Order: sequence, then structure tokens, then C-alpha cells
Amino acid sequence: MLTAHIVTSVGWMGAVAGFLALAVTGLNNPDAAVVQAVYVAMELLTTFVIVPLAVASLVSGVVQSLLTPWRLWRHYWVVIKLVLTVISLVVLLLQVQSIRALALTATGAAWSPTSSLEARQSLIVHAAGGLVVLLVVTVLSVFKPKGQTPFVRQASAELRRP
Amino acid sequence: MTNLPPQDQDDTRVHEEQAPEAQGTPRWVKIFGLVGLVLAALLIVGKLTGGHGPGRHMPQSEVSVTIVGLPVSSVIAG
Repeated sequence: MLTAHIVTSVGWMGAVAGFLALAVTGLNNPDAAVVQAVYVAMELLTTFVIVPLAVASLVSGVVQSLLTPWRLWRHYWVVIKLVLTVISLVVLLLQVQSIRALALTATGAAWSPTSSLEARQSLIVHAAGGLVVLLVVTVLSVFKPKGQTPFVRQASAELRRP
Repeated sequence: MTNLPPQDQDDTRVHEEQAPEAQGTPRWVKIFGLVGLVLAALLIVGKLTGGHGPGRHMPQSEVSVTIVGLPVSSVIAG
């Protein structure tokens, strides 16, 4: 389970980095054919790689924490990691429709280099932001900063009560 | 999650000098919370002013003519 969690989490981050590279290429490349291919590739990457990896990362992380003494609610780093992962997944799922619409527009006859410029810039911002959040999540997983949540404090206080 | 937590964090048995209730919230957690609150406030302001939100940057042509992945023209034509 730990191996699955590491592979899916790091894979998710790598796939988002690839998505960001494609998004930047789609905005800057002068070749219209390349740009159109980029947005089709971005939709495929999102549907078949990024979303499955994100869901698998969340599920494997929750299962992994519940099966080990870390638990899901005892340590701040685990709780914060969970919150950031859930937020990232929600934002990703909200972006899927925009990415699909952009891929459809790119393959349409009305496509021009200035089409959907705002949407294409937005993808870069969201991918870059997502990459930063996933980097923070990875750093939390590696360093596991100390700090127990009030749930543990309450439990220990009740145990120490005569 | 490669390492297990230290034994004194693993269970609820705590030494007197390490009583967790005396530790309070760590500084790094407070900084995380503060940054999170600032970002959430910025997003809410952006949303209220209409500058940000899901689907806001979607290509208008595709939003208006697509129903469940099918162009409206093909739906109407039957």
C-alpha cells in the first residue's frame, strides 16, 4: 500500500509537470498544428493519467494512514496533507470540463492562435499552482514535522486523569 | 509515511515532561493556517468580483453549443 501511495502521489506530480509543459507550449508555439495537438494531448493526459493518479493517491493515502499508527487525525502533517490533497483533487475535477472544451475548440475549424486565450492562460496558472501544492504535500510526507492534534491531547489527558 | 511515529507519539501514554496538551499548536501549523486563510480570502474576493471561478475561462463557443459532449446541432437534427 505504501508503494502504491508513493508511486501514485509522485506520478501525479510528474504528470502535472508534463501538463504544465504542454500548457506553456500551447500558449507560445507559433505552429498551429502543434498547438492543436497539444490541447488534444492535454485532454488525454488529464482523463487517463492525472485524474486516475489523483484519485488513487487520495485513496491509498487514506488507507495507508488508517493501517499504520500514524492514523488520519493524530498528526498535523497527515491532516494538512489530506486537506491539500482533497482541495487539489476538487480543483482538478473542476478543470476537467474546461480542458475538454479547449480540446474540442482546438480541433474545430474555427480555431486560431488567439482562440480561448484566457482559458489557455488559466490552465498554466492552475497547473503551476497545483504543482506547488503537490510539492508541499511531498515535503510534508518526507519530513513529517512534529505536532499532534487536539484529538491525541484529549485522549492522553483522559488517560492521565485519576 | 515511510517511518512509523516515535513510540511516545504512537500511543496515548505520555511522560509527564512531554504532556502533549502543554505543547499547543506548533508554529509551522499556525503559518500553514495563516497562508491558507489568506489564499482562501483572495479566492473569495476573486469569486465575488467575478474574476475567478470554475468554468469561467471555458471557451464560450463550446460551452454554449455542447450538450453532454454532443454538438447542439446534431442533437437538434436528431
